[in-house]
Amino acid sequence: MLQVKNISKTFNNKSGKINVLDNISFELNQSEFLAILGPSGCGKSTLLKIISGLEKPDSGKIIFSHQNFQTPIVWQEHRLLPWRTVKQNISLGLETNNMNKLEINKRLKKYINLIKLNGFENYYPFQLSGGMQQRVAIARAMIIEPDVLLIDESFSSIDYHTKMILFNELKKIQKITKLPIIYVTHDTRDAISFADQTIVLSANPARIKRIIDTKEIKTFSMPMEKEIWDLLK
Amino acid sequence: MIKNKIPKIIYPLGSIASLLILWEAAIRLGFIKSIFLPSPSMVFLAFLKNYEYLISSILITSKNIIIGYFIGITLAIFLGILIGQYKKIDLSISPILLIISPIPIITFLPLFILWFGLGTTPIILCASMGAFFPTLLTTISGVKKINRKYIEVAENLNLKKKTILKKIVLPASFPYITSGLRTSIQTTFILTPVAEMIMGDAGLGGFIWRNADLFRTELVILGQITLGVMGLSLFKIFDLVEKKYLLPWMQIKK
Repeated sequence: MLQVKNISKTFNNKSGKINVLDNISFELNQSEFLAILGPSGCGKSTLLKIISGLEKPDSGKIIFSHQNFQTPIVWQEHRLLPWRTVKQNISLGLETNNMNKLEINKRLKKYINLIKLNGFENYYPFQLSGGMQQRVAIARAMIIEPDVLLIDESFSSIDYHTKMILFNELKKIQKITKLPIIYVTHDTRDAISFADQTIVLSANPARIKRIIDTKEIKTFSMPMEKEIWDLLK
Repeated sequence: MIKNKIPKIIYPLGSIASLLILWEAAIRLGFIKSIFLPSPSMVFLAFLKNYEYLISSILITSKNIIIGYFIGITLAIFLGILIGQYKKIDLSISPILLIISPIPIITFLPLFILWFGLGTTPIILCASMGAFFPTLLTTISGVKKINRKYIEVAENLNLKKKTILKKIVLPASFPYITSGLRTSIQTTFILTPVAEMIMGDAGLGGFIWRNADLFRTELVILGQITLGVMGLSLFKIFDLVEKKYLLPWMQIKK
């Protein structure tokens, strides 16, 4: 449903050209949980921005299975609008296509329930914990009923326990909605425990080193982690 | 505890009362001629005799301030967002504003009178220019300092450019804009009575100027006190509105 084909990207800065992404290609299928694993600063976020259309690649293309393909990002920092309440933040993406109030409220109710934000509708973002803030950010992305959910290391600043809960809930939601997810991370454990496929990237420039099937590994595996660590080095 | 229940309010009341008594006494005992400085009681009597005239002047001044203020800030916010957001508009309009803005606004009044006659239009124009510049400057800097990340969020959710301006850029720069809105009240509030005084026949400014011509100093002071009360209430109203509607999320933060 989503094909990434030979994406390359170079940034120009004062010290010259920096090759960030080098010939990245992969495919994403319905209901798939794909992890893109790479060291910090290797261009993973740039790749997400390219998939979502916020940045243009120098070469290569993204092929979607249909038109108006919706690719919301759940950002590394929650990026909630501080002047809007939880409810108003979630509905942001619906305020563009002349959707009527009734339909907006219906969707709000659905996704507030799904992502378990009941009772927090009228809070402001700064009144919430980090985990709750990312929940709101997930709801904001989900409410537009996207074709893929792009998650940019969004849980890296959240404590381990909360992170596990969020991951498990995401998996449950995925079962219901069949929504494919791309999760960008530098944390091998996250990838191993939750992704169906893990793409391991090298640094400077990011190239695909290997695509690993992590579907069957549901518990933490030391040898697997070591193998991936060696790849990252 | 009982000790603390009485005082505090006593101090300001006491000082105001003593000032009034001293003032009254100075005139009654003949230290100051009442034609130069009328006593509080004379001002109060003048109020009782002239309150209809005073109220009609208050209404005119209030109307000038309110209309001028809202014209000024509306234009300022609108233009400020465009200048802050679009580089080309910034480059072409900012130099013109840079030339106009340091000119004392009141010096535009004679031109406005020539163009629009002796009605309230010249006063309102001066008032709105006074409101325009402070809000314009803070709006521009607010929009320029906006966190790019919020705009990325909106673009990622496919919001249209116009929607982004209205729903992201405008509210994100509101903390800056409100500080401009407050300064705009002050400048409008200074300019309006001054313009009225020069016009000589309108509002509280006119009220003060005309009565000074007639040596009715008690009415001059009455006009001043009225303006003082109006100014104070304006700022209080602004505080309330700001607290309640403009920045609830910042208020809670405090």
